[in-house]
Amino acid sequence: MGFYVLRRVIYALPIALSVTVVCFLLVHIAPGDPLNAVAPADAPVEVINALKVAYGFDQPLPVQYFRWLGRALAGDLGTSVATGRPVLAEVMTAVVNTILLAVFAAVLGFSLGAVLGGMAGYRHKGIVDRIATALSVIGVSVPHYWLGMVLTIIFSSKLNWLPAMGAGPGGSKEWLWDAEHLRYLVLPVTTLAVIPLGIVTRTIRALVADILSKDFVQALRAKGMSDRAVFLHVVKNVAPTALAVMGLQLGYLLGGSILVETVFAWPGSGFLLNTAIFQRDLPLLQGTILILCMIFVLLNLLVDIIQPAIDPRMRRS
Amino acid sequence: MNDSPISPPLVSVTDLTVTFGGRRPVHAVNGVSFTVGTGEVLGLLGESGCGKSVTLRSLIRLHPPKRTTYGGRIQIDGQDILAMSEDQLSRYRGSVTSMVFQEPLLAFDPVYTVGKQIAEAIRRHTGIDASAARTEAIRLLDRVQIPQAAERFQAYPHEMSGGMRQRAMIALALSCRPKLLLADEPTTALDATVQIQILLLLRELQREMGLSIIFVTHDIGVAVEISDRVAVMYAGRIIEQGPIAEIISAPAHPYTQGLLSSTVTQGMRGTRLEAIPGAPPDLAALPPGCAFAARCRYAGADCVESVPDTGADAGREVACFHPLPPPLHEGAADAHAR
Repeated sequence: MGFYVLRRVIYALPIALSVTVVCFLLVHIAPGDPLNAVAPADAPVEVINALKVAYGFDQPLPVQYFRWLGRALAGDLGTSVATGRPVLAEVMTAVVNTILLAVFAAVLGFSLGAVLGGMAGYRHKGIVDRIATALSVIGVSVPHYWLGMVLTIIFSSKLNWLPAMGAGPGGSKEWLWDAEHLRYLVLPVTTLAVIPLGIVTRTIRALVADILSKDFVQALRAKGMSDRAVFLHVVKNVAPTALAVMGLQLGYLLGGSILVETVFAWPGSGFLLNTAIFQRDLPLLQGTILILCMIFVLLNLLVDIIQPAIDPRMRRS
Repeated sequence: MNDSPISPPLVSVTDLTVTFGGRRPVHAVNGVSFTVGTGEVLGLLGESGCGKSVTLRSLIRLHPPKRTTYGGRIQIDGQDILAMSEDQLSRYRGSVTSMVFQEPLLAFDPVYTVGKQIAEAIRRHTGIDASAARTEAIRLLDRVQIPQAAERFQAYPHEMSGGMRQRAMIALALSCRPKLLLADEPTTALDATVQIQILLLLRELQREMGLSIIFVTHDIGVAVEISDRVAVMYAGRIIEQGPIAEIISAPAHPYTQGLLSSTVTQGMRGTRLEAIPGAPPDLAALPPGCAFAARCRYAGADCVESVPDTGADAGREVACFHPLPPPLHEGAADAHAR
């Protein structure tokens, strides 16, 4: 087991490294001069050149990359061109906000999806199954920025029950655990939970129906196991695949939804990414993408490690 | 054999029908009657789709309850199986009657160790604690001749060979000392050499425990190896039953004869293997008469009109209007002697 974990970690390293290359290149390949954000369009050439040297843009790309990588490894992702604050600090504040949103959305979506999917799988082709299937199709296919807007119109504009924007009263970005702040979570969390809800429902429904059709379920009944005991067997069989799907979904959620966070002006990583793109804030953009990618790699690694702990068939391959 | 005339048979199935619902109901079993005495092995012989497995699974009501309609009567160890509640049923399954499946790899839960799955059944029916159940499971694995049973207790199904898995399946089935074992083609998925070992093991355990076995198979050779009596099924009915030696040497039903002559036996090189013409009937649209009539070369007008009754004659039953005469040169005594 220890060897397996070590191997997985070693596998993750080249992935993480290639992610840094892609992150770096992405920003440099994208059209537009990174200096546009700092220097006015009519700035004299000397000023532009001086700035280029100051930011290191005059060096060849590989050199720029390794310098950037070296600083990034030391925890220095540069300073935001727009705000002048350290990128790491900006990203971390945003990531914490996004994690908050993601965890709540995941808990809501996964638990509801597991219950709905499980019930649908047990009542294959029954009425519950039809409702669950319809819900999951809607969940996967409804554009969630649109759903966010509709929810805002209904619950904020018309009914005035919930705040439409921000993460706290007065546009505060710092999270506090009180009822006032929690109210700000309701709409974005609901909107964000719909996609994982749909996907998890569909996955678990298919898995449960498949497991229930297996011979060993009949064999369990044939040796006199109760429905509850059979259910526990089903859960343990469904868990590895379901967990993998959930891990992937949590990864997407942690990446932050640019659209949903923008609709609700939620100060998370997606919102930050959006701001960085529109303000051409290169260091901020690079830093945000990098950290989000690393979170994703880490999460996949975690799922890879947890899975064989549940499914013995994966241990010796 | 062991069924003395005084004690009632362990298993008594009377006019069993099994129908699977839906828009076009499938009549999988159509009035099957048989008995199995204590310590007796009944072979249920027939080709795919003849209802032998459906009959077998009905004895523990393993079919999906919503889509299945049972008729007739199943009496096992003094209990009326078809009248049982779900609760009674789950206590009866595995303790009085247990089952060995065709494909042991699929019949074990892949994410639990084999040992745990045996211990689980023991705990379900005896209520002993986990460590005692473990000891008992290891003893059983050892009894079915699995080497290093204590280590194999920890093995997952995919870590065992096919033969070993089937041995473990037998250990599981016998873990709560059942009176009746249902075996659903337990050797079909195995190599020929392993097949024989499993059959010998089953026979040995059966004698030792005084177990009754209903053994479903399509393989006459396997049926000969294990059974005291056989019942031949066709289109959801038993068309002929009797002592194995008599059925083999003197089949009375044309279908049984066809089945026997389409099997390869010793010294047949050079002769053409006979096949039964046609295909079995659609179980959703059975003919009013004998289901085999359309494929039978002896069929007359009466065969198409009504289903022949099983005429009992000294342990032999044949459901046929035109049964074949016993062979002239071989007496029944000779057949017994084989």
